[in-house]
Amino acid sequence: MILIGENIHIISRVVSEAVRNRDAAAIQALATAQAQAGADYLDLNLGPARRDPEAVGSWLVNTNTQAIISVITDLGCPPDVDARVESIMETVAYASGLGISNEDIFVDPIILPVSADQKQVREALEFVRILADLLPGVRSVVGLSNISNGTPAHLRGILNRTYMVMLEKYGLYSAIADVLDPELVELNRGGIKDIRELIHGVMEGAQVDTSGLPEKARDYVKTARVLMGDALYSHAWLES
Amino acid sequence: MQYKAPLETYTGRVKEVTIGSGRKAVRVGGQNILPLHYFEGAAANRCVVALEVDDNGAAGWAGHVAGPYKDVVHDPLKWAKRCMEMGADLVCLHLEGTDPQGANKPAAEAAALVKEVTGGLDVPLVVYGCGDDKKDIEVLTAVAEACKGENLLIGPAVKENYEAIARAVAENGHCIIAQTPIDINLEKELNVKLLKQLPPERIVIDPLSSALGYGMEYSFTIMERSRQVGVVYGDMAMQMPIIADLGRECWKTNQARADAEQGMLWESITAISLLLAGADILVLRHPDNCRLLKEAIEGKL
Repeated sequence: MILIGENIHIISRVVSEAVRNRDAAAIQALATAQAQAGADYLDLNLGPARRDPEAVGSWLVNTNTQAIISVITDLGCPPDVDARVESIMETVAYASGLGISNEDIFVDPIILPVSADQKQVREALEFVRILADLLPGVRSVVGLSNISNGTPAHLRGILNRTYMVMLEKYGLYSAIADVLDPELVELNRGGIKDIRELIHGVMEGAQVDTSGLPEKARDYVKTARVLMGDALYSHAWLES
Repeated sequence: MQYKAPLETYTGRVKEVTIGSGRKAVRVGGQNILPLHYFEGAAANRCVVALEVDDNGAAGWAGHVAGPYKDVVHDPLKWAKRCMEMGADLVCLHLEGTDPQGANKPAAEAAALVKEVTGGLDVPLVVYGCGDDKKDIEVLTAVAEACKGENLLIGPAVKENYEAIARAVAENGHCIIAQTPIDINLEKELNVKLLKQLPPERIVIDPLSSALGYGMEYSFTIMERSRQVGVVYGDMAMQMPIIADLGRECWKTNQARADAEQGMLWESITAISLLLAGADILVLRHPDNCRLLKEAIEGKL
């Protein structure tokens, strides 16, 4: 899976100060750190742009770039897989009318925090699973770290990493992610095989016996169970 | 061919919690069914009804709900006995007078009062602190120590103070009320933390009960989901009985304060709803509603 570094983001205090002070060195340092950590691309998130789909769409065609289309509509984030499908089919048809081909489209299924709406975690996962059949040729991208938004900071990493492995199994093409997390990068490169297999096992409904497992492996199993919706989330999910 | 009803069976079971000691013990929970689905399986115990008493002379109670107790509101023991005579399965004593924003009564005085009330009663006692998380540590610890072995149901233990209160409850042989603000994820988190200090048979969940028209549907949903997660999905951290402390919420609404009949309806409708959602202990204020809810629980309505 292609990893896009998320750390140059206007919400970050360092970044917003650097932008305000036109401090190029600070932004460059963040870019270099992410590149060295293993980012394939960098995301430069410098705040919202104007909303004018037709103008932006035409500009995209003229300048030969690609577009990210999310499932969000004026009504907000669709509540389930079917509503996501309905939304994306409509928007992609619109893009197609503007001359943008499927190969130039990245679909964003919208990842919502597990601490806010646990049911949505599984819905987004299912959507990624069927996307290739639905719209052949499109690629996908997610804002991975949103899965752990609202979770205590020291527990965010394992949620991000586990969900990445799960999304990848279902064919996710790319993720905007915390590439400064070395374990995340390693898992994405196919490393830590036993952990990847445990997570896949939970996804396939295997009754994983955790009693003999080391603590780290057990934590991944618990996390996968929460993300699959098999266990109710709480901030103390690793403690029970 | 004879018709056979398609019955569901579930893997989870609510833990049975015993409140009170000796002959006055009352058991709640123990069911492996959804609320009131007696046709689906075994309910070791039916839901129970508590009536509320306070240590503050019913300050703030509308006249029409304080009426049945008006001659005893300044004597919590007599008030509690009145509740018992009027059919309450338990008495719920709110230590409103310990509130630092109010009368700010000292912990020792509250503990002595609880000891007197529990000693004079033939039904078990539920004790709620004033809700100030710092003062509650002091007051509820003193209560737990003064009433060692009485097996009271004591709370609220919240995110900010659960460790100290759970310690006092564990050391002195009581049960605890785990209270969270209408949020199922926070509810589970507090349960997980408390389970490190107490067995599940000593924990009762209070997900907060809102009154009809003031967010009751949120309380309903949380109670309903708690029960589903515990009984249907077998989540061990969600298998404790639920207490719905709803009387005070209902009687403080403008509608209930304005009119006696409206108040009776407000309390009874909220109580019936939360009973259906999964509450095991209903805390009410009016004795007529206590009778009504007991009839509903016995299936006589």
